[in-house]
Amino acid sequence: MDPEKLRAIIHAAGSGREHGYREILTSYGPRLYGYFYRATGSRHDAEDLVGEVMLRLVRRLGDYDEQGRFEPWLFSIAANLVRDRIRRATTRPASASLDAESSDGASLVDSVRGPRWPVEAGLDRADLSEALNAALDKLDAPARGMVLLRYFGQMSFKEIAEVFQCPLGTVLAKVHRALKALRVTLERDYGADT
Amino acid sequence: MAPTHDNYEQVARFLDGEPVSLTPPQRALAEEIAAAERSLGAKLDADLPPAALHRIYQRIQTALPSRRPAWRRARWVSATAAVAAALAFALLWQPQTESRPEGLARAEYVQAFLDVPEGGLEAEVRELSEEVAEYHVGLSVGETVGLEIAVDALELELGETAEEPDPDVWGFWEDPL
Repeated sequence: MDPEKLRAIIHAAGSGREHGYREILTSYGPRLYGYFYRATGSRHDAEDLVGEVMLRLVRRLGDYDEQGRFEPWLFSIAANLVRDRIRRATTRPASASLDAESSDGASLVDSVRGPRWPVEAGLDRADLSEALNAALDKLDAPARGMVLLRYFGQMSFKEIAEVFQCPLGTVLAKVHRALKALRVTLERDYGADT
Repeated sequence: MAPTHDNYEQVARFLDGEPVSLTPPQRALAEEIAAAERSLGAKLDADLPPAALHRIYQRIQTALPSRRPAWRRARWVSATAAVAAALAFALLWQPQTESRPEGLARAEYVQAFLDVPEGGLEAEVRELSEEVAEYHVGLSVGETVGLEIAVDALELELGETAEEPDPDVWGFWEDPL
């Protein structure tokens, strides 16, 4: 996005003007949604987390340093949300709800009233998407987060190192191993050509 | 090559665009990682359904404190200014029928003003009301004296402004994304 336009949008959103956060949502919402979906494997969680990150964003825009890049700042908030969500999920006892998803991503609500989300275009694409989620799920959370932040957040390795507070070399080592593991898993288990 | 931590760090700097020189094995590692990232890339995308975007937007609108448009803020600025003007006027205005005792401090004069029985101020209030007839101000001075000054002109103006409709925010969402 054009830096001047971005600055104007951020300023508008920080002032609570509706068009400001609407622009941020339409510009970054799809990528945030993709990041959350791949990080959690759940469309329901992804939607919830996009809403959550937008609320945090608008409330914290005053902290944003205009000298820095906006996207890494935004996705570092998103990464913290994912970390919190995963932490809560591992410490909270399991409970069933209408929105709880089975391994294939369907919820009780879905089974009663049909698919809640539009089916992705083409069976192959849907299969690949599911395969990717399954392969990502086999990675450890930091490695998965780093790979996703590279793509969705378009973050440098240095910026990712700051988010995860680990050395630069460690980030690339984890990303390298994760990319290899993803390729191997997809090829072996799903025959996907990566 | 079995990459070492130093190798990874050097390659990471290179991939981040820093001007670093790589050994051939490091360069091969950099190319391998860049190719793997490109290959995975767009496969990670997930469509955000328009209905979900709509729900997220609704949630933001509901959760965020309502921020008044500028014209509404201006209305309150005008009203506050009117109150301040009326208060200043009430405190500084010296009625012709009473003289301020010589040497009486301002705080004492205000106290004396407040101590006057309620009925004794009616004429002054009426006159004051006419003076500031352009404003609608609810003003209380202490617990003993109440001032209520009504101004239709400003109220009418604000009423007209308040009728101004909000922009049609939902028209935006009806466009295909």
